[in-house]
Amino acid sequence: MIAARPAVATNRTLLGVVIFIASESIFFLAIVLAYIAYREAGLATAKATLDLGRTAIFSLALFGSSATMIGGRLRMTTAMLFAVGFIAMFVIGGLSGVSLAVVPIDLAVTDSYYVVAHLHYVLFGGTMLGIFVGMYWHFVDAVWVVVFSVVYLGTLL
Amino acid sequence: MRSWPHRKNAFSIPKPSIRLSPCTALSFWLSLAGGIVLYFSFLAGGAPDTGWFSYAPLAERAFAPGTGVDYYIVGLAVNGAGTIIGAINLAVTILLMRCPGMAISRVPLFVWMTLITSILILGAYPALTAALVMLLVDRGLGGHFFDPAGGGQAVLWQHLFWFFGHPEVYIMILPAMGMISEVIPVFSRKPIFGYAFVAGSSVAIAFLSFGVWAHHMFAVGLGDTENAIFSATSMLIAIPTGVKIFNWIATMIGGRLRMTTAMLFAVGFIAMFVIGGLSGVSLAVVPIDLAVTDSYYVVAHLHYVLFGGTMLGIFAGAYYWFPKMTGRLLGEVLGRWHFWTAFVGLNLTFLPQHWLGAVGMPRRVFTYAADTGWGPLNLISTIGAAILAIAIAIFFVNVVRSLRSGEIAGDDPWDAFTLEWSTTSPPLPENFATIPAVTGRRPLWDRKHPELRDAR
Amino acid sequence: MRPPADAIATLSLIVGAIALLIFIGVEGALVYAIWRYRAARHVAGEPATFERNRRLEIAWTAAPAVILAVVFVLTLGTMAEINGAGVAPAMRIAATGHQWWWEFSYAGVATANELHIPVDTPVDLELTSADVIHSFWVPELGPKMDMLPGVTNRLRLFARRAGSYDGQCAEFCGIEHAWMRIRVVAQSRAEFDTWLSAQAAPAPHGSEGERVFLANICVNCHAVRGTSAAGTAGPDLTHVGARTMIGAGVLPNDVARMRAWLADPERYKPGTLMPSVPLSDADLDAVAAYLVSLR
Ligand SMILES: [Cu+2]
Ligand SMILES: [Cu+2]
Repeated sequence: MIAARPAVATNRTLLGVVIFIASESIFFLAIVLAYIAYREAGLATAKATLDLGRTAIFSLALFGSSATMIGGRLRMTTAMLFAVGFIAMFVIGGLSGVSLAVVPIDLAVTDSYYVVAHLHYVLFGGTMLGIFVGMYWHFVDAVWVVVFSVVYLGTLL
Repeated sequence: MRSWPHRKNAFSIPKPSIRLSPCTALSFWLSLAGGIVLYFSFLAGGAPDTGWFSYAPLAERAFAPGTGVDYYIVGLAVNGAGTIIGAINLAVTILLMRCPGMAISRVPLFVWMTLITSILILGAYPALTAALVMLLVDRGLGGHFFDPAGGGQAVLWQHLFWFFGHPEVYIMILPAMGMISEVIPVFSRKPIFGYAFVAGSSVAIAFLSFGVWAHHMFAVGLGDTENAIFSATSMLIAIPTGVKIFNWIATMIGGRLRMTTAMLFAVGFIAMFVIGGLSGVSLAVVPIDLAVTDSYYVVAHLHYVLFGGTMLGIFAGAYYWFPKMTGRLLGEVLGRWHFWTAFVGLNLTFLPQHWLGAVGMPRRVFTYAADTGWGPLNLISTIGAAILAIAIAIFFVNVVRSLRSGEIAGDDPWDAFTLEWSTTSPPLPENFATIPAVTGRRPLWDRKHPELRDAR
Repeated sequence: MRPPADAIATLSLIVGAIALLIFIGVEGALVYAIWRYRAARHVAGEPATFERNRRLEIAWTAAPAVILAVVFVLTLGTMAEINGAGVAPAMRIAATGHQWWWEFSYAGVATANELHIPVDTPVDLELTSADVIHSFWVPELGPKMDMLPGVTNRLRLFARRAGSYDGQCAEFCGIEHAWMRIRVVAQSRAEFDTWLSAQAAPAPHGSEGERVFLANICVNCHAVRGTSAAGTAGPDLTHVGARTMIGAGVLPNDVARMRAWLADPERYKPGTLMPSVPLSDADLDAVAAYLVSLR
């Protein structure tokens, strides 16, 4: 018999989500590359303006919410959707708040990353279908890890 | 045009139900909403007046204070979201929802091209969306992505825009290439020559098209090294494109050609696309590009690709599949008039523009001095455009007349090869009463002509 | 050195000849196929059924690759040549694009819209923009090069014969993009030197037109060296009378047309950033005569 095919080669929704995430990566890649290109041009840095500590704590909350999605089978009832939505809003609100607080002088390039990443939480995280919402959740986490490394840790020195 | 594959693929890869149909609806409505937002700008105080490419910093608030560019941003982003969802839908359908026996090496070439187009959309549109978001931040939130005074770079917009923009050219031409790859074999009564090369060359085009964007930016001053690299990749992409042309002609060699209107348009595609392809190669030659970029030469080039190519290909597809969609043939007499007026009109319109560009007429100017001597050629162009308009009018008259009183087509008016012609015209809501068996690349031909069936 | 335009013309002829051969070959094969295999002419029996020929397909993949490799090598050579590789420029001129006019500066001597260069001399333009992206293009002198804000690009110019060469902006830069023309005047070295020293001199004083000019909003945007007018938003007018055209190419330069232009710039260049100045008829006459006298 033929060996079992991987889930992504049999499950339509899973394949769709995977393709979508691959496509989205290009979007985020473009934006992060733009940041890196402009880093020399006097953007907000962790050393000067950004609050590394508070953002790190909020990031942990973000990863925590993602971790609860691992293990067990996520039953995407309406109640659960609201719960996910709530966590999303909370984290987003927190992070965006931080970002707005730290660079009040000029909403320059850096801030837009929050807007963009968090917009995607709401827009897409919220509309993804059923069980695969978890996958997208992890993906945005991964994006955040990159943004955090580049924007915060990368400008620490 | 982009919704066409949704309809056609459902036939070619039969499966009684389309499970992702909510996805199709979302894709359609988002695309439509994006378009409406874009056109609404005309009513809302001014259309976007910075060109379809909307180069920053011209598109920044300081130089485009109206709301037009904001509508452009939102409209394109929403339309892009719809297009991306549609591409996911088509890619998943083609990859996972083929009927038994329909191996990926057997799907019709139109379906192959649709798959490649979807992949190109998934890679290209996010770059445009990223650029649009940055422009929105610049215009609305005081960002400086494209504002040199604030630490940004004007050229960043062009990099992102053309990373989208060049694949977009193939997003527009590949479906039409797929259509004529169906039409030419049927009306030559021969299998396509070099199926693997036609499909494989599209994969090569897809890969390469993400590495050629800066050929739109040779005059930006990126540097000789960068220009040389992008010149090389742009020349490379001509190779898989040329392969397709040779394969189509080889398909016709040794066949028995029925010159129906569909076939006329398909052959017209080849004849015209060769011109657009060759002028395209000349634009990959950096010094020539520096002389003629942003001139009418480029206008001529892109119209030989997009009108001589895409539009003629779509017309070929229209005459070919109209009977399947409606149950009636699209009139052949008016069809011939349509073809010849379009063919003459497009050459009159666009051929003189090569010379206009070469002698120095820039694009996007609403006037020019009389002593430039550009008048006569522009007059020819204008006459050609009027003839083209007549051609399009003939097409619409033909459609309306054929819908009302066209000849009844039957299931398979062309003695065709692929499965959509085995079902009724127009097809059943579920496409097929029973899932057909697929034994080769020409399943219907094999069934009709068992003694002539393909070797594999 | 050879003028860049000549190098490009040679390369275009070679590439054009190759393209023409391919065009004839492919279209010929297509027409032959249609004529030879049309159904009406067909003999009995089924058509051929061959559907591949690996050797042939590899051949028609490889042949274009070889041709393109040759074209690419020629491309590299011409790229180096039109950049003026190995030939140092005898002169550098700063050129700045504005919506919708050109600023030229010869080591601090500013002028606008008309670029004078000596013949048989390699000249480098240093291109930038004050606002949006423009592109400097004089077809007979060679390639175009974009002018981007915040960036300085270099373009080699080389004119072999004296005369005037027209060109215009080649990057869409807003509503008046079409009225952003350039005139390049190539002169013998002696004539050029005379012109340049005249340009370097300050404007003469004492006319009625000068008084009206200095008393009005003209000075907010325009400079006339030797007077108190020092605006930078519009073209430097110190020697505006020496230019052949008004408004980056919209009108020939004489007193009557200068007066018409000042009275209503919008009529000749819709969308221009130059406002119409509310002046009495007598003042208009005086200012027009003054400006045209600035030679
Ligand atoms: Cu391109
Ligand atoms: Cu312009």
